[in-house]
Order: sequence, then C-alpha cells, then structure tokens
Amino acid sequence: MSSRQEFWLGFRSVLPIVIGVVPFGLVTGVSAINAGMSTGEALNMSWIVFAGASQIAANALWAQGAPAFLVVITAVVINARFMMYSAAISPYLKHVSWLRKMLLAYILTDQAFGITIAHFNQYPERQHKPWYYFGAALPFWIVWQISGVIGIFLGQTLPAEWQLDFAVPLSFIAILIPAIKDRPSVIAAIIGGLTATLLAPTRVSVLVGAFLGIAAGYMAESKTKS
Amino acid sequence: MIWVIIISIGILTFMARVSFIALEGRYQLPGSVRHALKYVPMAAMSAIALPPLLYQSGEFVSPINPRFVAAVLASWVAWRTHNAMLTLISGMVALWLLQNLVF
Repeated sequence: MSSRQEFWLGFRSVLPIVIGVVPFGLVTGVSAINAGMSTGEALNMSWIVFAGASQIAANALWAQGAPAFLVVITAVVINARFMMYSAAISPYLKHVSWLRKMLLAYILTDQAFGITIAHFNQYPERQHKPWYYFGAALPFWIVWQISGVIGIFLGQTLPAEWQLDFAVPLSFIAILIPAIKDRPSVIAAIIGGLTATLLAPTRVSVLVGAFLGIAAGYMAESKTKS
Repeated sequence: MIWVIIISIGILTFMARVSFIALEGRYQLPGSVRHALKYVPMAAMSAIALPPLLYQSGEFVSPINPRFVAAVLASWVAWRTHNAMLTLISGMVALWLLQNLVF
C-alpha cells in the first residue's frame, strides 16, 4: 500500500471511536470556563496541552486557588503515561524527520496509541507505518479542538442551574467503567478515589490519590503474578 | 499566572510525548515503570471523579445525595452500554430528576 492509502486506512479505522471523545471535549471546555478562565485562555489551553484529563484536573485545582506548581505537578503526573506510549511507538517512527517526529509526538493520545499498536501487531510487514499512525491520530486532534470550542461556548451560555460541572465526574465514569479489565485496575481506581476523597479538604487530594492508586495497582499486579 | 500554568503543562506534556520517540527506539522504559504507568488513567480519573460526589460545599456528605446516586446510575449505564454520550446524558438527567423530585 502507498503512504496515502495507509494514512486513510488509519483515518477510517478510528472514525467509529473518535465520536467518543466529543462528550469529553465538551466537558473539558465547560470545565475551563467554570474554573474562571477567559475564552482566550481556554481556547489556547486546548491546543497547547491537548490532554483532557490533565486539563480538567488543572482547571479544578485552579478554581480552588491551588498554588501554580501544584496545578502543574498534578497535570504532569496524569500525563506521565504518554512516556509509556512514546516508548512503545518509538521503534516505528525512528526513520521520519525531526520535524515530523515532533508533530507525531504532539498528537499522541491514548486512543490513537491503542488503535495504532493493535494494527502494527496485526500487520507487522506493512510499510509506511508512520502514515497509518498519522491517519489514526489526526482525527482525535481535530474532533478534540472542535468539541472543546463548543464546550467553551456552552460553558458560557448554559445556565448554572444545569450543573454542568457534574459532567466532569460523569465523563470520567464513561471512560473508566468500560476500561476496567482486571483486579489491579479496579484496586487502582478504588484506592485512588478513596484516598482523594479522604483528602478532599486539601489541595493535594488528586495528586496523592493518583500516586497511591498507581502504587496499589502496581502492587496488586505483582502479587497476581507471583 | 494561568498562562505560566498552561504553558508549563503544555511543555512538560509534550516532553512526555516526544521523550522516547526522540530517542528513536534505542531505549525503552524499565518494565516496572511501564507497569506502574499503566494504572495512571484509572487512579487519576478516579481521584478526580469521586471526591466531588462525597465532599460538597466544604463538607463530607452521605452517599445518599443526588450527585452520588446519579453517578451510580450513570456507572450502570456505562457498564451496560459502553457509550460515553449515553452515560453523560443519563447521569445529567438523573441528577436533575433526583434534585427536583426526590431530594
């Protein structure tokens, strides 16, 4: 297949699931406005960060008046998972130019990674792998930006009685529940959630909750194996 | 200050994404780090989603409150349908109904 065909193959293969990021993008846009950001700040955050869960966490902490370094650290811990995807996909992207490496890294997401690696494992002999990945990752960026803009608009328009802030926990439920596969992931979610709840009066609740949840999941996995 | 935050998160997130791609596959993460990172989404999202259901307006509240009950209903919808939009809509509608009719 040509590079163009691989690109469109990737593009088409994610179309059924790219629609799933729409509610998440909407909610992220709403959460930025609810946190007190201006339209310009919210719009720029959307393309500069381009990582929903961390944006939502940062917005919530910012709204609580948390210190800047805590907002940044919390978001960065949430986004540390991209290193894992970056490592796994790196052998397939090593022959592209520097500029393209940076572009392809910038649009790396959980979903694009998952789809692409599954395709590479299924068809290891195919050429033009970077093009497939580019085709699979681009739709998420486009749809994310559009739904984010709509969310920013809705956040300013819809009345407060609608309680759109509740859409944040709901959107995470929508991602988490279908992703539960094994005992360690359930344990990570429970410990992370409970720790953060107990620490809710403090501003380190998400950060400490995430750390203990990750540790609990990791230990549960090690125990299962041994 | 918000600009410092946005740009710092943006740069650090980009660095996480570009890290091993820039190293051109010569290095890989140690197995233990990879296994730990696998649980970041689960742990972090739960740590963000659960507290506002049980800690509202500056105090801990009983699970029998509109938000917690609506979240349980939405979880059931997510479990059965795996549909994000349906989960979101059912949770919001449940919240509005519970607040106006029950609580």
